[in-house]
Amino acid sequence: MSSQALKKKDCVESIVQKYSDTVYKLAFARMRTKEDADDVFQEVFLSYIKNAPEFENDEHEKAWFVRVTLNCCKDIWRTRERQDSISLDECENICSDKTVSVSLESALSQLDESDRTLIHLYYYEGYSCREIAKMLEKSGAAVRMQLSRARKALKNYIEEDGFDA
Amino acid sequence: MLKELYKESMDKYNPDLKLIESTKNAMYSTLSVSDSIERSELIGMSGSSVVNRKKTFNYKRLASCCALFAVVLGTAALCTMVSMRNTNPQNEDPFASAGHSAFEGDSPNDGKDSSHYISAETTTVSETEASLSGSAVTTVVTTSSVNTSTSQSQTVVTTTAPAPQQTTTKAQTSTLTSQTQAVTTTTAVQPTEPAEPERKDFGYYDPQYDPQFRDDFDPNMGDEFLFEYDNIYYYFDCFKSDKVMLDFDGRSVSLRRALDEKLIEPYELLEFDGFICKGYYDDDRDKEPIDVHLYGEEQMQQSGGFMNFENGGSQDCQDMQPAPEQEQEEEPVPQQ
Repeated sequence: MSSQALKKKDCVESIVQKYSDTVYKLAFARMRTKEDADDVFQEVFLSYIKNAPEFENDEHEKAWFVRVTLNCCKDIWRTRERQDSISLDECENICSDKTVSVSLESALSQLDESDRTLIHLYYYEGYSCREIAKMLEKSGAAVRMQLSRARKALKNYIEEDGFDA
Repeated sequence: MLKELYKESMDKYNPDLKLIESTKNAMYSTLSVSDSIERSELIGMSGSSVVNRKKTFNYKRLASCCALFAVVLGTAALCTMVSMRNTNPQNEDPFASAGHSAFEGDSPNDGKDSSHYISAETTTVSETEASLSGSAVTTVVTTSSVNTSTSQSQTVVTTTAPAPQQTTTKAQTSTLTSQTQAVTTTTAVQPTEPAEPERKDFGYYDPQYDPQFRDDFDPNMGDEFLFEYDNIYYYFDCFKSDKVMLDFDGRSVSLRRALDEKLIEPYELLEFDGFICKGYYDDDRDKEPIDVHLYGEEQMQQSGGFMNFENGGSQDCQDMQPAPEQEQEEEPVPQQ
Protein backbone atom coordinates (compact mmCIF):
# COMPACT_ATOMS: atom_id res chain seq x y z
CA MET A 1 0.00 0.00 0.00
CA SER A 2 1.39 3.38 -0.96
CA SER A 3 2.17 6.01 1.64
CA GLN A 4 -0.48 8.20 0.13
CA ALA A 5 -3.06 5.49 0.56
CA LEU A 6 -1.98 4.97 4.12
CA LYS A 7 -2.31 8.67 4.76
CA LYS A 8 -5.79 8.65 3.34
CA LYS A 9 -6.76 5.74 5.51
CA ASP A 10 -5.49 7.53 8.57
CA CYS A 11 -7.60 10.43 7.48
CA VAL A 12 -10.64 8.19 7.30
CA GLU A 13 -10.10 6.95 10.82
CA SER A 14 -9.67 10.38 12.26
CA ILE A 15 -12.53 11.97 10.41
CA VAL A 16 -14.96 9.24 11.34
CA GLN A 17 -13.88 9.38 14.93
CA LYS A 18 -14.21 13.15 15.00
CA TYR A 19 -17.61 13.56 13.43
CA SER A 20 -19.43 10.29 13.88
CA ASP A 21 -21.38 11.49 16.90
CA THR A 22 -22.24 14.83 15.38
CA VAL A 23 -23.45 13.33 12.14
CA TYR A 24 -25.35 10.50 13.73
CA LYS A 25 -27.13 12.57 16.33
CA LEU A 26 -28.14 15.18 13.83
CA ALA A 27 -29.34 12.50 11.44
CA PHE A 28 -31.34 10.88 14.19
CA ALA A 29 -32.77 14.17 15.34
CA ARG A 30 -33.94 14.76 11.82
CA MET A 31 -35.05 11.30 10.79
CA ARG A 32 -36.10 9.87 14.15
CA THR A 33 -35.42 6.27 13.19
CA LYS A 34 -32.24 4.31 13.62
CA GLU A 35 -32.30 2.80 10.15
CA ASP A 36 -32.59 6.17 8.44
CA ALA A 37 -29.96 7.65 10.67
CA ASP A 38 -27.63 4.80 9.73
CA ASP A 39 -28.23 5.41 6.04
CA VAL A 40 -27.57 9.10 6.38
CA PHE A 41 -24.45 8.42 8.41
CA GLN A 42 -22.93 6.26 5.70
CA GLU A 43 -23.94 8.61 2.92
CA VAL A 44 -22.31 11.57 4.62
CA PHE A 45 -18.94 9.92 5.07
CA LEU A 46 -18.95 8.41 1.63
CA SER A 47 -19.71 11.84 0.27
CA TYR A 48 -16.72 13.14 2.15
CA ILE A 49 -14.49 10.54 0.52
CA LYS A 50 -15.89 11.10 -2.94
CA ASN A 51 -15.79 14.89 -2.89
CA ALA A 52 -12.60 15.28 -0.85
CA PRO A 53 -13.44 18.85 0.10
CA GLU A 54 -10.86 21.24 1.42
CA PHE A 55 -11.53 23.19 4.58
CA GLU A 56 -10.21 26.42 5.91
CA ASN A 57 -10.55 25.43 9.55
CA ASP A 58 -12.30 23.05 11.90
CA GLU A 59 -15.44 25.13 12.03
CA HIS A 60 -15.71 25.07 8.30
CA GLU A 61 -15.20 21.35 8.32
CA LYS A 62 -17.91 20.77 10.92
CA ALA A 63 -20.31 23.07 9.12
CA TRP A 64 -19.71 21.04 5.98
CA PHE A 65 -20.65 17.83 7.75
CA VAL A 66 -23.74 19.40 9.24
CA ARG A 67 -24.81 20.74 5.88
CA VAL A 68 -24.23 17.46 4.07
CA THR A 69 -26.06 15.55 6.79
CA LEU A 70 -29.08 17.76 6.39
CA ASN A 71 -28.96 17.41 2.63
CA CYS A 72 -28.77 13.63 2.87
CA CYS A 73 -31.74 13.63 5.22
CA LYS A 74 -33.65 15.74 2.75
CA ASP A 75 -32.78 13.36 -0.08
CA ILE A 76 -33.97 10.37 1.86
CA TRP A 77 -37.20 12.10 2.72
CA ARG A 78 -37.76 12.94 -0.89
CA THR A 79 -37.07 9.50 -2.19
CA ARG A 80 -39.14 7.71 0.39
CA GLU A 81 -41.98 10.25 0.61
CA ARG A 82 -42.77 9.25 4.05
CA GLN A 83 -44.70 10.95 6.77
CA ASP A 84 -43.10 12.35 9.83
CA SER A 85 -43.50 9.49 12.24
CA ILE A 86 -41.59 7.86 14.99
CA SER A 87 -41.65 4.49 16.52
CA LEU A 88 -42.47 5.08 20.13
CA ASP A 89 -41.39 1.56 20.93
CA GLU A 90 -37.88 2.69 20.25
CA CYS A 91 -38.16 5.43 22.80
CA GLU A 92 -39.75 3.26 25.40
CA ASN A 93 -37.08 0.63 25.06
CA ILE A 94 -34.56 3.12 26.21
CA CYS A 95 -36.42 4.27 29.26
CA SER A 96 -38.90 1.87 30.73
CA ASP A 97 -40.47 4.49 32.97
CA LYS A 98 -42.35 7.35 31.52
CA THR A 99 -39.83 10.03 32.34
CA VAL A 100 -39.55 13.60 31.23
CA SER A 101 -36.96 12.64 28.64
CA VAL A 102 -39.36 10.16 27.04
CA SER A 103 -42.00 12.85 27.04
CA LEU A 104 -39.52 15.22 25.46
CA GLU A 105 -38.66 12.71 22.77
CA SER A 106 -42.28 12.07 22.11
CA ALA A 107 -42.82 15.81 21.84
CA LEU A 108 -39.81 16.14 19.55
CA SER A 109 -41.21 13.52 17.26
CA GLN A 110 -44.30 15.61 16.80
CA LEU A 111 -42.34 18.60 15.61
CA ASP A 112 -41.58 19.26 11.98
CA GLU A 113 -38.27 17.92 10.82
CA SER A 114 -36.98 21.43 10.22
CA ASP A 115 -37.96 22.43 13.77
CA ARG A 116 -36.20 19.40 15.14
CA THR A 117 -33.12 20.28 13.20
CA LEU A 118 -33.10 23.77 14.64
CA ILE A 119 -33.60 22.50 18.17
CA HIS A 120 -30.75 20.06 17.74
CA LEU A 121 -28.33 22.51 16.19
CA TYR A 122 -29.11 25.15 18.78
CA TYR A 123 -29.30 23.11 21.96
CA TYR A 124 -27.08 20.17 21.27
CA GLU A 125 -24.47 21.42 18.87
CA GLY A 126 -24.47 24.86 20.44
CA TYR A 127 -24.62 26.86 17.24
CA SER A 128 -25.89 30.39 17.44
CA CYS A 129 -28.88 31.51 15.45
CA ARG A 130 -26.63 33.37 13.10
CA GLU A 131 -24.48 30.33 12.44
CA ILE A 132 -27.52 28.17 11.91
CA ALA A 133 -28.94 30.74 9.51
CA LYS A 134 -25.75 30.64 7.50
CA MET A 135 -25.77 26.86 7.39
CA LEU A 136 -29.37 26.58 6.41
CA GLU A 137 -29.21 29.56 4.06
CA LYS A 138 -31.96 31.39 5.86
CA SER A 139 -32.16 34.79 7.42
CA GLY A 140 -31.28 35.18 11.07
CA ALA A 141 -34.74 36.49 11.80
CA ALA A 142 -36.35 33.46 10.23
CA VAL A 143 -34.23 31.11 12.26
CA ARG A 144 -34.96 32.90 15.50
CA MET A 145 -38.63 32.96 14.72
CA GLN A 146 -38.74 29.30 13.88
CA LEU A 147 -36.76 28.39 16.97
CA SER A 148 -39.15 30.31 19.16
CA ARG A 149 -42.11 28.60 17.62
CA ALA A 150 -40.47 25.22 17.97
CA ARG A 151 -39.80 25.83 21.65
CA LYS A 152 -43.34 26.90 22.18
CA ALA A 153 -44.71 23.90 20.35
CA LEU A 154 -42.44 21.60 22.32
CA LYS A 155 -43.63 23.10 25.52
CA ASN A 156 -47.25 22.59 24.51
CA TYR A 157 -46.64 18.99 23.57
CA ILE A 158 -44.87 18.25 26.83
CA GLU A 159 -47.55 19.91 28.88
CA GLU A 160 -50.15 17.86 27.08
CA ASP A 161 -48.34 14.78 28.32
CA GLY A 162 -48.75 16.03 31.81
CA PHE A 163 -45.24 17.22 32.57
CA ASP A 164 -44.02 20.64 33.54
CA ALA A 165 -41.29 21.82 31.19
CA MET B 1 -33.64 23.52 31.26
CA LEU B 2 -34.62 22.52 27.78
CA LYS B 3 -30.99 22.43 26.80
CA GLU B 4 -30.08 19.96 29.53
CA LEU B 5 -33.10 17.81 28.87
CA TYR B 6 -32.44 17.73 25.19
CA LYS B 7 -28.79 16.89 25.60
CA GLU B 8 -29.67 14.15 28.01
CA SER B 9 -32.15 12.66 25.58
CA MET B 10 -29.79 12.82 22.60
CA ASP B 11 -26.79 11.42 24.41
CA LYS B 12 -28.44 8.03 24.23
CA TYR B 13 -28.19 7.94 20.47
CA ASN B 14 -24.80 7.03 19.21
CA PRO B 15 -23.65 5.21 16.13
CA ASP B 16 -22.98 1.60 16.97
CA LEU B 17 -19.66 -0.02 16.27
CA LYS B 18 -21.02 -2.14 13.48
CA LEU B 19 -22.21 0.93 11.62
CA ILE B 20 -18.90 2.69 12.09
CA GLU B 21 -16.93 -0.29 10.85
CA SER B 22 -19.14 -0.79 7.82
CA THR B 23 -18.89 2.90 7.02
CA LYS B 24 -15.13 2.82 7.27
CA ASN B 25 -14.96 -0.23 5.02
CA ALA B 26 -17.11 1.51 2.45
CA MET B 27 -14.83 4.53 2.64
CA TYR B 28 -11.73 2.37 2.21
CA SER B 29 -13.13 0.63 -0.81
CA THR B 30 -14.04 3.95 -2.35
CA LEU B 31 -10.53 5.15 -1.66
CA SER B 32 -9.08 2.00 -3.25
CA VAL B 33 -11.05 2.54 -6.41
CA SER B 34 -9.95 6.13 -6.70
CA ASP B 35 -6.35 5.13 -5.95
CA SER B 36 -6.33 2.62 -8.78
CA ILE B 37 -7.68 5.23 -11.15
CA GLU B 38 -4.98 7.65 -10.12
CA ARG B 39 -2.34 4.98 -10.59
CA SER B 40 -3.53 4.16 -14.04
CA GLU B 41 -3.45 7.83 -14.95
CA LEU B 42 0.11 8.11 -13.71
CA ILE B 43 1.19 5.19 -15.86
CA GLY B 44 0.72 7.19 -19.02
CA MET B 45 -1.35 7.21 -22.13
CA SER B 46 -2.22 3.59 -22.01
CA GLY B 47 -5.54 2.38 -23.21
CA SER B 48 -6.80 1.68 -19.71
CA SER B 49 -5.77 5.06 -18.42
CA VAL B 50 -7.49 6.75 -21.32
CA VAL B 51 -10.60 4.78 -20.55
CA ASN B 52 -10.33 5.72 -16.92
CA ARG B 53 -9.92 9.36 -17.82
CA LYS B 54 -13.02 9.18 -19.90
CA LYS B 55 -14.88 7.62 -17.04
CA THR B 56 -13.78 10.29 -14.68
CA PHE B 57 -14.35 13.16 -17.10
CA ASN B 58 -16.13 15.95 -15.34
CA TYR B 59 -19.04 16.85 -17.49
CA LYS B 60 -20.39 19.24 -14.93
CA ARG B 61 -17.26 21.31 -15.03
CA LEU B 62 -17.35 21.39 -18.81
CA ALA B 63 -20.96 22.52 -18.79
CA SER B 64 -20.26 25.28 -16.30
CA CYS B 65 -17.26 26.46 -18.35
CA CYS B 66 -19.35 26.57 -21.50
CA ALA B 67 -22.08 28.48 -19.72
CA LEU B 68 -19.57 30.97 -18.37
CA PHE B 69 -18.02 31.42 -21.79
CA ALA B 70 -21.44 32.03 -23.33
CA VAL B 71 -22.24 34.63 -20.68
CA VAL B 72 -18.95 36.44 -21.28
CA LEU B 73 -19.51 36.45 -25.03
CA GLY B 74 -23.03 37.70 -24.63
CA THR B 75 -21.93 40.49 -22.31
CA ALA B 76 -19.19 41.55 -24.70
CA ALA B 77 -21.63 41.61 -27.60
CA LEU B 78 -24.09 43.67 -25.60
CA CYS B 79 -21.42 46.17 -24.59
CA THR B 80 -20.32 46.49 -28.19
CA MET B 81 -23.86 47.18 -29.31
CA VAL B 82 -24.40 49.78 -26.63
CA SER B 83 -21.12 51.55 -27.37
CA MET B 84 -21.85 51.58 -31.05
CA ARG B 85 -25.19 53.20 -30.42
CA ASN B 86 -23.80 55.87 -28.19
CA THR B 87 -20.53 56.82 -29.81
CA ASN B 88 -21.35 56.96 -33.45
CA PRO B 89 -21.93 60.26 -35.09
CA GLN B 90 -24.87 61.23 -37.26
CA ASN B 91 -26.96 58.58 -38.68
CA GLU B 92 -28.31 58.46 -42.13
CA ASP B 93 -31.80 57.27 -42.49
CA PRO B 94 -31.41 53.93 -44.13
CA PHE B 95 -34.94 54.00 -45.46
CA ALA B 96 -34.89 57.52 -46.85
CA SER B 97 -34.45 58.23 -50.54
CA ALA B 98 -31.14 56.95 -51.66
CA GLY B 99 -27.84 58.73 -51.28
CA HIS B 100 -28.92 61.61 -49.09
CA SER B 101 -26.60 62.67 -46.33
CA ALA B 102 -28.15 64.24 -43.26
CA PHE B 103 -25.40 66.72 -42.78
CA GLU B 104 -24.88 68.09 -46.21
CA GLY B 105 -24.79 71.86 -45.94
CA ASP B 106 -25.96 71.86 -42.33
CA SER B 107 -22.81 71.51 -40.38
CA PRO B 108 -22.13 74.80 -38.62
CA ASN B 109 -18.58 74.12 -37.79
CA ASP B 110 -17.14 71.64 -40.12
CA GLY B 111 -16.33 71.85 -43.73
CA LYS B 112 -17.46 69.54 -46.36
CA ASP B 113 -14.88 66.95 -45.58
CA SER B 114 -16.04 66.47 -42.07
CA SER B 115 -19.63 66.31 -43.23
CA HIS B 116 -18.79 63.57 -45.59
CA TYR B 117 -16.91 61.86 -42.83
CA ILE B 118 -19.87 62.21 -40.58
CA SER B 119 -22.30 61.01 -43.14
CA ALA B 120 -20.18 58.01 -43.81
CA GLU B 121 -20.18 57.24 -40.16
CA THR B 122 -23.88 57.83 -40.06
CA THR B 123 -24.53 55.42 -42.83
CA THR B 124 -22.59 52.77 -41.07
CA VAL B 125 -24.41 53.33 -37.85
CA SER B 126 -27.83 53.47 -39.38
CA GLU B 127 -27.30 50.30 -41.27
CA THR B 128 -26.06 48.64 -38.19
CA GLU B 129 -28.98 49.91 -36.19
CA ALA B 130 -31.41 48.82 -38.82
CA SER B 131 -29.91 45.42 -39.06
CA LEU B 132 -29.77 44.98 -35.34
CA SER B 133 -33.14 46.28 -34.46
CA GLY B 134 -35.03 44.99 -37.40
CA SER B 135 -38.01 47.22 -37.53
CA ALA B 136 -36.64 49.89 -35.21
CA VAL B 137 -38.28 53.21 -35.73
CA THR B 138 -35.89 55.73 -34.31
CA THR B 139 -32.17 56.06 -34.45
CA VAL B 140 -30.46 58.71 -32.45
CA VAL B 141 -26.90 59.69 -33.08
CA THR B 142 -24.84 62.43 -31.55
CA THR B 143 -21.93 64.01 -33.25
CA SER B 144 -20.27 65.43 -30.19
CA SER B 145 -17.76 62.67 -30.16
CA VAL B 146 -16.68 63.40 -33.70
CA ASN B 147 -16.55 67.20 -33.48
CA THR B 148 -14.08 67.54 -30.74
CA SER B 149 -13.09 71.10 -31.73
CA THR B 150 -16.50 72.43 -30.91
CA SER B 151 -18.43 72.45 -27.72
CA GLN B 152 -21.74 71.94 -29.37
CA SER B 153 -23.13 68.61 -30.17
CA GLN B 154 -24.99 68.02 -33.29
CA THR B 155 -27.62 65.48 -33.18
CA VAL B 156 -29.57 63.78 -35.83
CA VAL B 157 -32.74 62.00 -35.14
CA THR B 158 -33.60 59.84 -38.04
CA THR B 159 -36.63 57.73 -38.35
CA THR B 160 -37.68 55.11 -40.72
CA ALA B 161 -40.54 55.63 -43.16
CA PRO B 162 -43.16 56.91 -42.89
CA ALA B 163 -41.65 59.37 -40.38
CA PRO B 164 -39.85 62.25 -42.08
CA GLN B 165 -36.12 62.62 -41.85
CA GLN B 166 -34.78 65.39 -39.71
CA THR B 167 -31.66 67.41 -40.33
CA THR B 168 -29.70 69.32 -37.80
CA THR B 169 -29.33 73.02 -37.42
CA LYS B 170 -27.89 75.08 -34.66
CA ALA B 171 -31.31 76.14 -33.51
CA GLN B 172 -32.47 72.60 -33.19
CA THR B 173 -29.43 71.35 -31.37
CA SER B 174 -30.70 71.85 -27.86
CA THR B 175 -34.09 70.36 -28.67
CA LEU B 176 -32.61 67.38 -30.34
CA THR B 177 -30.11 66.95 -27.60
CA SER B 178 -32.88 66.78 -25.05
CA GLN B 179 -34.70 64.37 -27.30
CA THR B 180 -31.55 62.36 -27.45
CA GLN B 181 -31.39 62.30 -23.72
CA ALA B 182 -35.04 61.39 -23.50
CA VAL B 183 -34.70 58.67 -26.08
CA THR B 184 -31.53 57.44 -24.55
CA THR B 185 -33.27 57.28 -21.27
CA THR B 186 -36.22 55.39 -22.61
CA THR B 187 -34.08 52.96 -24.47
CA ALA B 188 -32.02 52.14 -21.44
CA VAL B 189 -31.72 48.43 -21.04
CA GLN B 190 -32.01 48.24 -17.27
CA PRO B 191 -35.33 49.07 -15.70
CA THR B 192 -35.26 51.78 -13.07
CA GLU B 193 -35.30 50.42 -9.60
CA PRO B 194 -37.75 51.76 -7.11
CA ALA B 195 -36.40 54.54 -5.02
CA GLU B 196 -35.05 53.55 -1.65
CA PRO B 197 -37.51 53.92 1.13
CA GLU B 198 -37.14 56.97 3.22
CA ARG B 199 -35.26 56.19 6.38
CA LYS B 200 -36.32 57.97 9.46
CA ASP B 201 -34.45 57.44 12.63
CA PHE B 202 -33.43 53.88 12.54
CA GLY B 203 -35.77 52.54 10.02
CA TYR B 204 -39.21 53.82 9.34
CA TYR B 205 -40.17 51.90 6.32
CA ASP B 206 -42.77 52.23 3.65
CA PRO B 207 -43.82 48.85 2.36
CA GLN B 208 -44.83 50.07 -1.03
CA TYR B 209 -41.17 50.35 -1.92
CA ASP B 210 -40.41 46.82 -1.04
CA PRO B 211 -41.55 44.32 -3.60
CA GLN B 212 -41.08 41.54 -1.13
CA PHE B 213 -44.03 42.64 0.91
CA ARG B 214 -46.14 44.28 -1.68
CA ASP B 215 -48.21 41.47 -3.07
CA ASP B 216 -48.75 38.68 -0.66
CA PHE B 217 -48.42 40.42 2.61
CA ASP B 218 -50.04 38.58 5.49
CA PRO B 219 -49.96 40.31 8.85
CA ASN B 220 -50.58 37.07 10.68
CA MET B 221 -47.29 35.65 9.63
CA GLY B 222 -44.92 36.43 12.39
CA ASP B 223 -41.89 36.65 10.18
CA GLU B 224 -43.25 39.22 7.78
CA PHE B 225 -41.97 42.65 8.59
CA LEU B 226 -42.37 46.03 7.08
CA PHE B 227 -40.20 48.04 9.38
CA GLU B 228 -36.50 47.75 9.02
CA TYR B 229 -33.99 47.69 11.79
CA ASP B 230 -30.60 46.11 11.50
CA ASN B 231 -31.60 44.50 8.25
CA ILE B 232 -34.68 43.04 9.83
CA TYR B 233 -38.10 44.12 8.73
CA TYR B 234 -41.11 44.61 10.97
CA TYR B 235 -44.76 44.85 10.29
CA PHE B 236 -45.56 47.97 12.17
CA ASP B 237 -45.31 50.98 10.00
CA CYS B 238 -46.65 53.12 12.75
CA PHE B 239 -43.41 52.84 14.59
CA LYS B 240 -41.68 56.12 14.75
CA SER B 241 -38.92 55.58 17.14
CA ASP B 242 -38.72 58.96 18.74
CA LYS B 243 -42.45 59.11 19.32
CA VAL B 244 -42.99 55.70 20.76
CA MET B 245 -42.30 55.32 24.42
CA LEU B 246 -42.32 52.00 26.16
CA ASP B 247 -43.09 51.55 29.79
CA PHE B 248 -41.13 48.92 31.63
CA ASP B 249 -42.64 48.99 35.10
CA GLY B 250 -42.29 52.68 35.44
CA ARG B 251 -39.21 53.10 33.37
CA SER B 252 -39.92 55.04 30.23
CA VAL B 253 -37.82 54.08 27.31
CA SER B 254 -38.08 55.18 23.74
CA LEU B 255 -38.43 52.41 21.24
CA ARG B 256 -35.10 53.29 19.76
CA ARG B 257 -33.47 53.03 23.13
CA ALA B 258 -35.27 49.80 23.88
CA LEU B 259 -33.92 48.28 20.74
CA ASP B 260 -30.44 49.67 21.28
CA GLU B 261 -30.35 48.34 24.81
CA LYS B 262 -31.89 45.10 23.68
CA LEU B 263 -34.79 45.45 26.04
CA ILE B 264 -36.85 44.15 23.23
CA GLU B 265 -35.35 42.41 20.31
CA PRO B 266 -37.21 43.15 17.15
CA TYR B 267 -37.05 39.66 15.80
CA GLU B 268 -38.72 38.30 18.86
CA LEU B 269 -42.03 39.85 18.01
CA LEU B 270 -43.66 36.51 17.64
CA GLU B 271 -47.28 37.09 17.04
CA PHE B 272 -49.18 39.79 15.45
CA ASP B 273 -52.77 40.18 16.38
CA GLY B 274 -53.45 43.60 15.05
CA PHE B 275 -52.08 45.43 18.00
CA ILE B 276 -50.71 42.79 20.27
CA CYS B 277 -47.46 41.04 19.93
CA LYS B 278 -45.02 39.25 22.13
CA GLY B 279 -41.56 40.35 22.88
CA TYR B 280 -38.71 39.58 25.15
CA TYR B 281 -38.03 41.78 28.06
CA ASP B 282 -34.31 41.29 28.20
CA ASP B 283 -31.53 39.32 26.62
CA ASP B 284 -32.49 36.08 28.25
CA ARG B 285 -34.43 34.30 25.60
CA ASP B 286 -35.25 31.38 27.81
CA LYS B 287 -37.69 33.49 29.73
CA GLU B 288 -41.30 33.72 28.76
CA PRO B 289 -42.01 36.33 26.16
CA ILE B 290 -44.13 39.17 27.38
CA ASP B 291 -47.12 40.83 25.86
CA VAL B 292 -46.47 44.01 24.05
CA HIS B 293 -49.48 46.07 23.29
CA LEU B 294 -49.06 48.27 20.33
CA TYR B 295 -51.30 51.03 19.24
CA GLY B 296 -52.37 52.36 15.95
CA GLU B 297 -51.13 55.70 14.89
CA GLU B 298 -54.26 57.52 15.93
CA GLN B 299 -54.23 55.97 19.35
CA MET B 300 -50.59 56.66 19.72
CA GLN B 301 -51.17 60.27 19.01
CA GLN B 302 -53.85 60.37 21.65
CA SER B 303 -51.88 58.47 24.20
CA GLY B 304 -48.63 60.16 23.46
CA GLY B 305 -47.24 57.01 21.97
CA PHE B 306 -46.85 54.91 25.07
CA MET B 307 -46.84 51.18 25.06
CA ASN B 308 -47.02 49.10 28.16
CA PHE B 309 -45.07 46.02 28.81
CA GLU B 310 -46.93 43.71 31.07
CA ASN B 311 -45.26 41.13 33.24
CA GLY B 312 -41.98 42.85 32.83
CA GLY B 313 -39.21 42.54 35.37
CA SER B 314 -38.35 45.32 37.72
CA GLN B 315 -36.05 47.99 36.51
CA ASP B 316 -34.75 51.11 38.12
CA CYS B 317 -36.69 54.08 37.00
CA GLN B 318 -34.71 56.32 34.80
CA ASP B 319 -35.87 59.53 33.37
CA MET B 320 -35.85 59.39 29.68
CA GLN B 321 -36.27 62.23 27.32
CA PRO B 322 -39.63 61.91 25.67
CA ALA B 323 -40.15 63.05 22.12
CA PRO B 324 -40.69 66.77 21.84
CA GLU B 325 -44.15 66.30 20.36
CA GLN B 326 -45.38 64.37 23.32
CA GLU B 327 -47.00 66.18 26.17
CA GLN B 328 -47.75 63.24 28.35
CA GLU B 329 -44.94 61.68 30.28
CA GLU B 330 -44.67 58.23 31.72
CA GLU B 331 -48.33 57.70 31.83
CA PRO B 332 -49.23 54.16 31.02
CA VAL B 333 -51.98 53.84 28.50
CA PRO B 334 -54.72 51.37 29.23
CA GLN B 335 -54.41 48.40 27.04
CA GLN B 336 -57.05 47.59 24.57
